[in-house]
Amino acid sequence: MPEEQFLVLHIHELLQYLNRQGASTFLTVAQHGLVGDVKAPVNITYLADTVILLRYFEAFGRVRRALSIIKKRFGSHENTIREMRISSHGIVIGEPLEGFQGILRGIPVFADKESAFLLEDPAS
Amino acid sequence: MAVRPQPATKAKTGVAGLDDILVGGLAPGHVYLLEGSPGTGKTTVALQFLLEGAKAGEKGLYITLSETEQELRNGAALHGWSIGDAVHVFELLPPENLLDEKHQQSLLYSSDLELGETTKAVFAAIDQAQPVRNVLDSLSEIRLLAQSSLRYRRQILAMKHYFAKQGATVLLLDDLTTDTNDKTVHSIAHGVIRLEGLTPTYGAERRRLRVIKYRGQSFRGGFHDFTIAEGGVQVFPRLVSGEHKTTFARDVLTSGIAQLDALLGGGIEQGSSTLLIGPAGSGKSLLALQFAVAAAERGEKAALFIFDEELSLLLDRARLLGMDLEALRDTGNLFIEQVDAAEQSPGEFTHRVRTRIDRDAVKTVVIDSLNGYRHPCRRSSFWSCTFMSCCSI
Repeated sequence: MPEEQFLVLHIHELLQYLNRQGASTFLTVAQHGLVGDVKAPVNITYLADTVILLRYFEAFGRVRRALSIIKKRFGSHENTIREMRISSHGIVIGEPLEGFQGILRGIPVFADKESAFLLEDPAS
Repeated sequence: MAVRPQPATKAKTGVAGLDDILVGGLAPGHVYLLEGSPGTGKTTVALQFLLEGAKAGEKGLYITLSETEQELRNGAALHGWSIGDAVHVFELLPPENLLDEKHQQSLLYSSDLELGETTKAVFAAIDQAQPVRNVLDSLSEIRLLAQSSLRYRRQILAMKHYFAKQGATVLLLDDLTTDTNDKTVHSIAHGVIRLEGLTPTYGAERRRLRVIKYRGQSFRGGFHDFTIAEGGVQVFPRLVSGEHKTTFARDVLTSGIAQLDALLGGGIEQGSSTLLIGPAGSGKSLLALQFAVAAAERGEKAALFIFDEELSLLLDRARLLGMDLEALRDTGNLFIEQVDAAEQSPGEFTHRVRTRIDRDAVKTVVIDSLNGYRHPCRRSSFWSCTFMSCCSI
């Protein structure tokens, strides 16, 4: 049995235990690669009830962070992509980035030029 | 010989995790085998077994065929135990007369003589001490003296019958030095526990144990991680989530950031798991922290298990973003634990998490990150040792 399988089994058991105790669990997995083709070293997305995806993307000469919910077992969720900024006030999440294409691929195309204001840095 | 009154309940081993695996402990009045290579912790478990008995006023006897009494007492002292008079130690080292020229020139093999003498001396010691708990350390001496497997088996059977009459709970130790595949005692003993240890090229030893057999009794099967530290052996029973079903209200937990909660359709349900994936530095840890901080600020208990980052760095980094983790830690709502994956087995980590859940009523758990958790495991695939799997010895 490959080690990967042991990890998944072990994590599965631990998550199930925690969930049955009413404890909410947050796990992080760093994926290989930075922009564009990004791969996860271990596939446990099927174990988690909710999956939050983070991506870098490039716009106006800056590297930005995008955030999206790609899975949620309980209830509904937005299927939009929002920008996440990390500031001295903590995490700031922007409005849905509508009117762009390809943010999760890393290089967005502005399908709707009017939407560009969504990427303006409120600080600058 | 008078029939001794037997304790009605199982004899606790003195190792809490092992009692859990054995569903209470060892059924009294039987013979058990505790086997493992030298250094795997047999003597420590045996001493804990005897000392546990002594606590309940049960007489303990430790028959040693290899270590001296002084070595045993010193070993116990290192764990902070005093054997004192609670446990009687009987040394049975090779009699000096075997070195006599007379014996060496005799037509009899000295081993023939010695096996009989040894068994006789063991029985005499038990007759005299009348223990409730008895340890024999170790069988490999007897196996060597017996020379053939037939004589060895007969000898063990004879001993078993003697022990059965005497009525003590007996722990036979086997250090597997003479024959690692010998199953003679496996078939004779009431239960068999095997201790294993392996040393990775990097990191602390990994230890695990398994109950191979426990006649007519249920036990928790499979491998369980354990450690030997000052204070003795600590066993971490394998987690079986099915045993831990509880009912609770699935409240929706918010992150404290309105837009994030909107994205999540209101928040995250209690008792669910959330995976944050993304490239390095994309803010996964911070987002996870955000949920833990929000929980702690609501007055709930949250625990962080940090694998990758140095704790002080994390605290500094969070402070720059307006999250005062230390202040929350001081309120007692936030537990921050650094985990060294190279030093800890998966069982031990699981135990740490369970302790937080059971003892501190933690309702939000952050594990950052699974990569750190997994790292030693990957290396192991070609180092034949593992953190995650401990799959092959």
